[in-house]
Amino acid sequence: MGKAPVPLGLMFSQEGPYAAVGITMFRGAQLAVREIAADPAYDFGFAVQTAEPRGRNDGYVAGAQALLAVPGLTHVVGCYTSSSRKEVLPVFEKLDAILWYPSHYEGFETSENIVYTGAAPNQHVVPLTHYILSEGGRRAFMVGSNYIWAWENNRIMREILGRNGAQVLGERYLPIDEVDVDEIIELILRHRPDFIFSTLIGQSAYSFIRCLRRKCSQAGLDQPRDLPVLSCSLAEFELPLIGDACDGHISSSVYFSSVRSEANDRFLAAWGQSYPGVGPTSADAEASYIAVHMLARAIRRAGSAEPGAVLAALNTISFEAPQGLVQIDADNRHCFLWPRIGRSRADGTFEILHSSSKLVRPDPYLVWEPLALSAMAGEKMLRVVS
Amino acid sequence: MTPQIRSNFRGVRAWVALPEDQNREVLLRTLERLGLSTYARCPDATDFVVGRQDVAFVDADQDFMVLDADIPHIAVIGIEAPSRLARVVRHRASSVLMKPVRATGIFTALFLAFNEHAIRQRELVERANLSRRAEGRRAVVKAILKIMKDDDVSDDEAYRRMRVASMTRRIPIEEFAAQTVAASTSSMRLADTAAHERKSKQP
Repeated sequence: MGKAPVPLGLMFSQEGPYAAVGITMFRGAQLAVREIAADPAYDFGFAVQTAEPRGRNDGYVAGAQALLAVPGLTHVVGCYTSSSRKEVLPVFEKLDAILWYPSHYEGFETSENIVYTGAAPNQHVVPLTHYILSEGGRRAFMVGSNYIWAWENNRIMREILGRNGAQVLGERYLPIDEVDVDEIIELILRHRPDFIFSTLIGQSAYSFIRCLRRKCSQAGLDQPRDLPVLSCSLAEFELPLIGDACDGHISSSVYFSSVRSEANDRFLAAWGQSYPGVGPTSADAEASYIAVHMLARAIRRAGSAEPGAVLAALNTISFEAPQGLVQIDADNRHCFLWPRIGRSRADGTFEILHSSSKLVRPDPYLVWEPLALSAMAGEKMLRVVS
Repeated sequence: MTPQIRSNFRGVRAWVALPEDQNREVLLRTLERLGLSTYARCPDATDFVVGRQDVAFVDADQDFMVLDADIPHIAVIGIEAPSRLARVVRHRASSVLMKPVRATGIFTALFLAFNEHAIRQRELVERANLSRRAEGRRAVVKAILKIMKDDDVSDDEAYRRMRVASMTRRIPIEEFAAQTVAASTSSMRLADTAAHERKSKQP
């Protein structure tokens, strides 16, 4: 009883500087591929081809070209960094193929050849800024890895803070993978902001948090309380990499492994069964999982994997994802998602402090976002969850 | 002061004078996604009304209507021939967009056009101020000489008095200088602050 094979490319860097996230995204996508294969509601299954870019932009271009050369392969789930996405975009445009991009990113893009299943800025940095303002945070210090993710998120947060009477005391950038963070931390301790907004990634982020915790203890400060670190990227799989100092950090994400829903229970069970001993799920794994399920639904609805037909079907599909019911805004091909604010715990998971009370429409260019806190007061965007 | 950079174009009214084709379709769709309201027209459309549009996209390949409005212009270019490009320069396009039009690049074109146009407008105001001052320079020099002679003061003091007087009257110093030169005696025109001491010196 053969299911018709539909070729699908998976392109994640499971080696190289951000292998940890690449591996977790690949696992999320693979899990969905297996679920589609086992689901009698689909008369097709994905025939997976993989490419390994090793975190290098030229590796992504070569990988995309190789995948799209496979007969009948017009959909690829992959990429993590914005630079990799921008690098491969011309390949997808030229060959009229679709990239399913499963990562939160800084927005300001709506390519006709990309479907974005991760959070846009109005679904991560904007709710995070509103959260900290509502908590009384008025004086920020920003520290980030020196690339577009940090620059743009800092700009967005700085603008919202400015419109609401809060201020940025300082803004510093480190080269990617830099782990010498002492000087910045000394500077932060002299400024004593209400909170630190970190857009550091990878090793820089882990070193920063460890060193900050240590120096705060030496100075008699309770770091999570006195100098909380906020980010839009800290995820479950990173907490063991931080070690002892992994608890008490605020993260804005559409998914945490601690979300309570039937769909998440199923996701967690399937994850644990498929990947025993690798730790909890995370937002990146979930976004990849969503991408494959959404693609499968669009193909089923369209009756074809042809890119034009699949794109035309996007506005008719939805998916009961682990984070909640999600759907695609056919207008900009980003997803309606569920913003949440979590605080990391020593056990490697997040306590969910706030959840959006409604599905949030993607606004990649922040066209519709009320940037002043007062403008959203009546809307009550976040509610406390018990 | 650093000028405010604009990055949100919600509610902006865009005049899009392009042939009805794929380029225009992609452009209109993307602009609407960015929160603009669009007015799709042919390149030779003549119903443009000043004050009803905030930005104009014109087809550099065609004989487009030259819009007599001080709003950002974006030239949509397919043919990179010097004759066409020269018109883009002459009509002072604030930014350009290449054909085939893709979603990528439209926000950049809009962003550059608005912010570049705002800078040009600020520079126009500054230039008008500078020309006014340049034109008034002769009168300022004459007025300084006149005050120096009438009041027996140094050039610095003469200038200071004139500046105080023009500030009191809330008029540009050039205008005050012109009035001073035109008046039969400087004492009638100078600021109240200086008037008393001047009067005491008069015979």
